[in-house]
Amino acid sequence: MNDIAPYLRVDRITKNYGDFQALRDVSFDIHEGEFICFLGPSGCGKTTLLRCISGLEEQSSGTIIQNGVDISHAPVSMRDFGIVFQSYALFPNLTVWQNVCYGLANLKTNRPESMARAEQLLELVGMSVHKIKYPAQLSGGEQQRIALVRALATSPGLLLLDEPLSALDAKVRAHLRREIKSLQKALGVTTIMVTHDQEEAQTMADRVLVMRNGELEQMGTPREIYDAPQTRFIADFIGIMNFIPARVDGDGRITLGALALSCETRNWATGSQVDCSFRPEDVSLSTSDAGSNSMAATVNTVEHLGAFERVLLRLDGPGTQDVTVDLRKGSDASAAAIPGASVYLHVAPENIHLFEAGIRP
Amino acid sequence: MSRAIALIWNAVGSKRRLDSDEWLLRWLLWGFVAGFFIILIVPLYMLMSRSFRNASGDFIGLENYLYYFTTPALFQSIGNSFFVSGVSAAIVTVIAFVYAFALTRTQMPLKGFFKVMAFIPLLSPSVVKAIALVYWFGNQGVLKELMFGHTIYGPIGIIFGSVFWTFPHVLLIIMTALALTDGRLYEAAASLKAGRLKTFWTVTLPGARYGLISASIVAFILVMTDFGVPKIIGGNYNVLATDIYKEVVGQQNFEMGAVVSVLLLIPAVIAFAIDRFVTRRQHSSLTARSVPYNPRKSPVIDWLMFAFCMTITLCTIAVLGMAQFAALVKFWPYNLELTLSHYTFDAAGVGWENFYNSLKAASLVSIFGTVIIFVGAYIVEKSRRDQGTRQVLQLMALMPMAIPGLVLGLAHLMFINHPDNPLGFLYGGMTIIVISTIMHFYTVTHLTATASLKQLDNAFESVSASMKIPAPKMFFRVTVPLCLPAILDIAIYLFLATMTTVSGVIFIYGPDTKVASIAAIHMDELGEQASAAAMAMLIVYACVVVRLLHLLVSRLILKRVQRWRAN
Repeated sequence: MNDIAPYLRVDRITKNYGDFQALRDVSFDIHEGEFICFLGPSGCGKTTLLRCISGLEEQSSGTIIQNGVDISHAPVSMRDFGIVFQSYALFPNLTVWQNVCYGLANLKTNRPESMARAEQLLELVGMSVHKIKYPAQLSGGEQQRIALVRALATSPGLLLLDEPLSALDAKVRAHLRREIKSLQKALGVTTIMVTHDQEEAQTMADRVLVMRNGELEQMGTPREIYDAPQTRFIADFIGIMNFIPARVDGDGRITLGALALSCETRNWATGSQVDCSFRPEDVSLSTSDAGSNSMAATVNTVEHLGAFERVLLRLDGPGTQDVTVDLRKGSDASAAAIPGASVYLHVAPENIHLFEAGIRP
Repeated sequence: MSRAIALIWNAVGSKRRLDSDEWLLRWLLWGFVAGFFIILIVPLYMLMSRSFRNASGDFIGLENYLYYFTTPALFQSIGNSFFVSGVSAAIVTVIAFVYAFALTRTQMPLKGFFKVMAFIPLLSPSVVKAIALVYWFGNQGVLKELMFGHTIYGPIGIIFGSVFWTFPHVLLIIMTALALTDGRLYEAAASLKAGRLKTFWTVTLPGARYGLISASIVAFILVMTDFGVPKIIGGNYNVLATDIYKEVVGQQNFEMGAVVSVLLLIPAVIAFAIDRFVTRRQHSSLTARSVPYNPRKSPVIDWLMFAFCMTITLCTIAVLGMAQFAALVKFWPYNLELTLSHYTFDAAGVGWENFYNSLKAASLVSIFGTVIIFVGAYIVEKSRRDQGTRQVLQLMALMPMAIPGLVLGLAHLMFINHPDNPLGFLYGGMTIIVISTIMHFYTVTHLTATASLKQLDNAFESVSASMKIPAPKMFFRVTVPLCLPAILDIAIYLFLATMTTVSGVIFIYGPDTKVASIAAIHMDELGEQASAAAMAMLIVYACVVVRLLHLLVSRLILKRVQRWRAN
């Protein structure tokens, strides 16, 4: 993939607002047809980054190259993209059809052809029947579909989605997620979506770009981000992670107080204070000591979350270290998880990640 | 300010290329800033600098001011102005508050009727009220005995007249403030078993306090800077506004006129600053989750309020009715036969053409003003670039509010009369009246326009630009239709304000452009009070007709808007 020229190259983008640095040296490539999510907590700079790419905001330094053309200083109207906002931004005084055709009026291309395309797109999202309605007569989800069709009607090379699903309720959101994704796949349009919802990013994106404090933290496929988080922030931000203070005791060994565990220590020096971390679903629970990499613990509470049970335990021994474990409903282990019960936790060495020690409560 | 400079610097340092829309917006922005500079800043500067010069134009420092403050006949006007303004503001604020309370917090019958009647005075120039007062309480007035030997010509008359004409303005502010109160507070008070009186002191009054402060400041400034009422009914009681007129028109002493103008400008600017500060605090108290308040029925209070509102309404009818009667009566008070002869205006230099001039001026101000003000507000609100320059424009757009019409008019007179001014040919013409009047009423209408533009999603422009649709096309296809109600409100406001204004044009009209409100004052000066009343009533008729037209058009537009909204 790397030998093909990227469709969009963002190179060392920095954006300052006075003393505040909203973006710091952000660089990455996007390939044609990819679906990319910018993910991060609010204020991390993901929306600013999207606005710099669209030209709605001007970066303080850095270059943006789209399809081989340097667009770093090009005005909005000379860039090639369609955009969808959280607020839909449909023109309330125009009908659905007028909204969809709004951008076609200025196209130099064949007008009947683009009208046919608009018609086809409306059909694809099942909105053809609403053509003569006004936006206010549609539900939020329907409005967002129209906004999407409007953005795609002019056949842009790049589709930008600025938190398009945040204003919708959970059910509609899940449905639209799949719809946007399949539409994007069918059209093959390169797409960037900004979101603060990790589930959204993980389910929709080909690659996720996680941001924090204006910096790119990690870019990778959803699986890479989840299974191999490169920083403590990502490990903590994506999914649930247990963090337990530990000390590196030598190659492949760490100690949690009196307890010794084996795991991949990579290049952590012996004696380093680290956080030993593992996912709740990577822990197995039993009533008897399973040998190596086992920890004695006492069950605190059990939460029933539909398909699985979330068990909160406290590790035995000095300190008050809490651990979260997810168990499949109906498994032997879940039967053993009764508040007050003494149990053993087992984590495989390859499921333990080490990060720099976090702030201890 | 340093932030603005930093922003301008950023824009200058930007390597960003601009497309044709961005250039257009930038040129328009610069055009507006230049326009404000020429039409507002330069004339004001000329006025102020004149107050530090003698008749031959030499700089003499504070000498004019020293003379002013050592001449009792002059400086006592300051006390007079503050006195009548303060008393009027206090009275009108109380009356308007009770009236607003009745309209928003009770189940009084005929609320709709009272609401309409309260705003009727807006359709008439202040001259009408002054003339009516003379007919009621003047030397030959019907109810002269009620004055118990005091004369209506002086502070009493000024206060009466001022309370009357400022009432709708003040009422509007207080009603807005009361409407902003959260109904949940009343529910909470009721659940805590608070009585009506306690609820009033703990919920209603605190909720309206910023509105009350703002309203009394506005009333104070309106009275302070008003010219029509003290001119007609003030007698020998001098106030700052009439002093400016006397100095400039009577004595041809422009320097002293400039001094008085500056003295009038200072409290106006201070009051304006306080008002802006107070208004800003008011907005933060209402959240999206607030619920509207539904007043409970209470026969005693409802009927008390009804009696109060009816009294005020009867006063309105009495004043307008008397002005109309005065215009129709043959020779007050000796021959009460009705005649239309006063509508022939045979006084020297006065006639129907003055009324036509008013219509012409009001139409031109309404049309050009609406376009200019809306485009200006659009640039301030929707342009993404040149943030620093836009802030400068916003600041300039707020300035006219703080400048009394008389002061602005005098500044424009000095500006246009300046021998080196290439625009001197505009002197005495309709153009300068239109320009000056638009500037005079700029702020209120600008705020209306920006408020309505703020309700439009800023993403509209972004979406449109991403689809390469030119900004003007988007402006006419989306922005204007969506803001049409506000645009109409601006147009009607400008029309009515221009029809009824006196202070804004008294210095700049020419022989061929004298407007009806000025003509009425001149006829009053000549002792032709019946004709003055007739001329003033012509203004009222025109305003009523145009206002009804506006209602009709608004209703049609509302129907259209409903189509976008209804399911």
